[in-house]
This record gives sequence, structure tokens and C-alpha cells, in this order.
Amino acid sequence: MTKRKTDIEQPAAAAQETEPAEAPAAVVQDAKPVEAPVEQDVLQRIAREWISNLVEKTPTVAADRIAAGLHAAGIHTQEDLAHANVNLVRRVLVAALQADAHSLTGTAARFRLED
Amino acid sequence: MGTINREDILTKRTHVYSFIQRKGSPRYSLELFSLHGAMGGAEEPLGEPEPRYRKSVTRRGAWDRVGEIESPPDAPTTSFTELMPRATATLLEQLKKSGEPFAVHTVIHQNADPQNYTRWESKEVFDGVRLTSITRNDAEGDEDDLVQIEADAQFAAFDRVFPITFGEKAGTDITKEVVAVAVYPEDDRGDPSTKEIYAITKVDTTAPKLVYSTNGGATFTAESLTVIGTDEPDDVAVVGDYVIVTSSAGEAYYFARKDDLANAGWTKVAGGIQAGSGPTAIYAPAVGSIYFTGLGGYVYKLTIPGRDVTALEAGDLTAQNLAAIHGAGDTLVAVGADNAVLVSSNAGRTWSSPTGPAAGVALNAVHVWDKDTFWIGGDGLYFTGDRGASWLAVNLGMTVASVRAVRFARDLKGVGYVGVVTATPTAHVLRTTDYGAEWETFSVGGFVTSNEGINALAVGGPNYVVAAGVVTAVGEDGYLALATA
Repeated sequence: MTKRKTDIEQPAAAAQETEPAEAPAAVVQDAKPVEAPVEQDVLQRIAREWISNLVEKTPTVAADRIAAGLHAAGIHTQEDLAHANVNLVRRVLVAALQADAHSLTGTAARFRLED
Repeated sequence: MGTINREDILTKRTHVYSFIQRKGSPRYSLELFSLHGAMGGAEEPLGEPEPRYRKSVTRRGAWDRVGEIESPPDAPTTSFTELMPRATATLLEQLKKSGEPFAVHTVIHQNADPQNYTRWESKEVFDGVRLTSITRNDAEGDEDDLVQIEADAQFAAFDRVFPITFGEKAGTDITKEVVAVAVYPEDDRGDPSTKEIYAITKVDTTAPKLVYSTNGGATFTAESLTVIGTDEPDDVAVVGDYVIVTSSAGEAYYFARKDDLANAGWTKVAGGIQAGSGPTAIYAPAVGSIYFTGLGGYVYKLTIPGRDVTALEAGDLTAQNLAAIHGAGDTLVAVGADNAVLVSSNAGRTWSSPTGPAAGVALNAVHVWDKDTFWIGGDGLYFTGDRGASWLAVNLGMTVASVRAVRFARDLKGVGYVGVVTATPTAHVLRTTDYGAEWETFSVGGFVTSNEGINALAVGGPNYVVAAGVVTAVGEDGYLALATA
């Protein structure tokens, strides 16, 4: 249980470091230089594959959940979001991405198989 | 008195052995305790009607009888007297002290091996047995070291289990894969010739087909449900006077009254269903408590067919597509893709998400025994006795690619069925009569193993199961097969 929780928070934490609204796009850019480090942490590789799947293969779902969460938090316009309280946006991101814990663990299960 | 044939005595003797299973759970195997016979006579008292009176308004000082109510029956009881080895007597003493319910299996078989409890011609299963008194003879061991025990016991449920044989039903009506099937009633009370079977096929030319029987499968009627159009259906359920079909593609549920199942009698309801999260599986224990799983981690509740659904879980715990839901009392369990398991112990008000049994595996089926014990079908069959904190991978006795359906009898939970598909692919139906400890195919004969897929099982008692699926994925032809004793 604890292990999974840290897994969930990784992408959310990564997303927080950049502009929240552009979080998925920023991470995709990170994922592009795939071959850069030779000794890449396996969890990092899994997380990168997972987040690229999240953005590329199901482009609407995660983004839609973030948008719905922002609306639910009272953020309705571009202007609202640009000037939103980052703690509020952080909570929206965690809430929206925690539903993908199963897909992250599933990616890890399949990742081992592919290796 | 007929002539005794020595040959028959030697070759056709029917043996009766009784076995104890310490708990009704796949974690406990059977232990022989009686070589000589079965349990004693079983006594099942029924409720007695108690008259109800009120003060007479016409006759002074008199009482008028206004009816009667059924009093709850006393617990059914049984007893046995058995000369048994000292070790077995000790086991019974332990069971008496622990006070925990156990199960007794009485196996009836010709020329049976007393160590082999998986082969039988018929068997009796006593569920939830508790010893109420136990008497043993004096403690001095005789030369055989046998002890005579007399015991009285209460039990919760009892039934006889027979080998059953599948036969195909509605073969001409069904030309497409059957996606789901439901049976009413789900226990074996009442007349088997009035049992109702409802099956739904994939889109057949223009619309899915409802194929149903209200006479125990003697005759079937097919109805093309154009109200659903070309949206593929996901599940069918019967609850109260209604038949309900879900379609995740249609993002709606459809219902009709049982007495008006013609196409015009069906109504589509889409209210409350989230776009992109259409309903998939149904768990409908009663009108007022109907639950749907949905795509994207949604769980919906429907009170009365015709009303809008409300979302109990809106994809907050998982974004996976949920594929099956079942429950018992206030406990609900939903399962889906990527090992997603959702559990609620308060009829869906709040949900938790224990780690599922198989990482990354799509879970297809769930059956809930009680608040702590569930069965889940994925790449294998899994059992938990602690709400998903730990999982037991159950040995099915064959290598399977996936478990597509799991259902236990409502009135005798020790008897259950799973529908599995091997890698070939070939579909099989396996049966357990001992709470999942052993699974076998010998007592479920006649299943056409050239069938490539199995999508659903519906159980209508310990000796009654209906299987539905696809004959060949290429031709998309489906089948409906009914097995009874």
C-alpha cells in the first residue's frame, strides 16, 4: 500500500515543479531523449512510459479529469487558472492522477514482461 | 428377498464416506472422519404459523382471529454416532471447543477410495455445522484404538449435489456471441419448470437479441431489441418484475417489465450516466439496490428502473474500466482492468481500493460470499478471506489463460462454478462442491469444449447452471447451455 502511494505521487510531484496546467506536456518533453542516460533507473523508465501512454494513447482522459477537477475547485477560465492558488491546483492534480495508480502498477507489470 | 449376487457385492458396492472440512474455505481440505456411514438423520423444522388476534369490536370480551404470521423456524439439526480413530475424535473435540462452524461432506460412490473425495455419484453437503453436544465412550483405548463418539449438531444449510450435464439451448435463435445470462430465481426453491432464463447476444444484424425462457428452458423466445440499436450490450439482469440490460457503448441502461418483453416495452434511460463512462456489469439483489459498474472507474446506483442513476464512485479511486460487480449485504466489490479492485462495506457510500491479486492483469469476474471473503477471476482464480489484504491463487487443476466467470450457489455456498478459457482457446466449466478446495469437470458433463469462449455463468441452485459465450470468434456464433441433474 505504502509502495503504491509513493508511485502515485511521483508523477504528481514531477508535475508540480513545472507550470501546473502544462504538466502533462512538460513531462512528454522530458520523455523524448529516451536514450540519454545508460544506467537509467527502472522506475524512472516505467514512469516515463506510463506518463507517455497517459498522454499519447489516452489523450483526453487524464487531461479531462484535471480540467473537471479544476472546474470543481472553482477555476473556470484561463485567467482563473493562471492566477490560481498553487496549493489548490496541487490538490487537483493529486486527486486527478491518483486514479491512475492501477495503470502505473499495470505498466510496471507489463514492463517487466517486455524486458 | 432377491438373490445376492456375489459378483455384485464385490464390484458394485456403494460406499458412503463422510469428510470434515474445518472451515468452508479453499484453504482447508477434507479430512475423513467416517468410514461406515453418513451423518444421522437430518431434521429441518419449518416455521409454524402463529395466530394473531384483536379485540372483537362486535362481541364484547371476545377476540377475533385476524390472521397468522410465520414464526422463525428452529435451526435444522443432525446427529451421528461413529466409531472413529482417536485422532479424528480429537479433531471433533477441538471443533467442539472452538465452536466454529465447519462443513461436512458425505460422499456416495461405488467402490470408492476413502482417500478420494473428488469422485462421487452424489454427495451431501452440510454447511455451517456446529456441534451442540458430544458424548464419547470411556477413555480406555481398546485394541483398535477406536473411540465411539455420539454428537448432535446444528447446521445452516444442507443440499444434495449430483452430476449435471450440459445441453445446448435456443441454438437456432442464437447466431451471435452471447454476452450475458441471468437466471431467476437464483436458488432452487420452487418449481424448476418455471425457472426463468434471460440471455443477451451481441448485435445481430441491426440490434442485440434477448433470448429468454420462462419455463425452465423448455422453450425460448427471441426478441430483437431495436431500442438498443447497434450499441453492443454488456450485461443483463433480472430484478423484481424487471429485466435490465446495460450498454457501455450506448451509455445507457434499458429496462422492460417481465410481462412485456416485446421490443416496444423497452425503455432507454441515460440520465445520470457520465459521458465516456457507460455502464458495464450489473449487480441487482433487489429493486431499490441495483448497481452498475462503468468505464473509467465509475460505479452507479439505480433505485427503481426508469429513474436516473447516481454515481457512487466517479473514477476517483481508479480510472480503469470496471468489468464486474457483486456483493453480499452491504458489501460491494467491483473489479476491472489493470488489477483494479474497489470494495465498499456500506452499500457504496464509501469505497476503498485494496491491491488486487494479479499485477497488471484484467480482472473479469467477482463473487462475494460475505463481507470478508471474495472470489475474483483474472488470469486465474483468486480468493481472499480478509477483504483483499492477502490473496490465495486457487489451483483449478488445469492451466487456464483466463477465468471469465465465477458464481456460487446462493443457497449452498460451498457449491460453485467457474467459466475458464485456455490458451488454445477452449472454454470449460469447472465445478467445486467443497468451497473451492477442489475444482473438477467430471460432474459437469456435456459441455462442448470446441466452444472458444465463455462470457457468463448464471447459477440457479447447487445443481443448476447456465453458461453463455462464443462458439468461434471467427463466425461470431454464440451458445447458451443449461446443465441440470
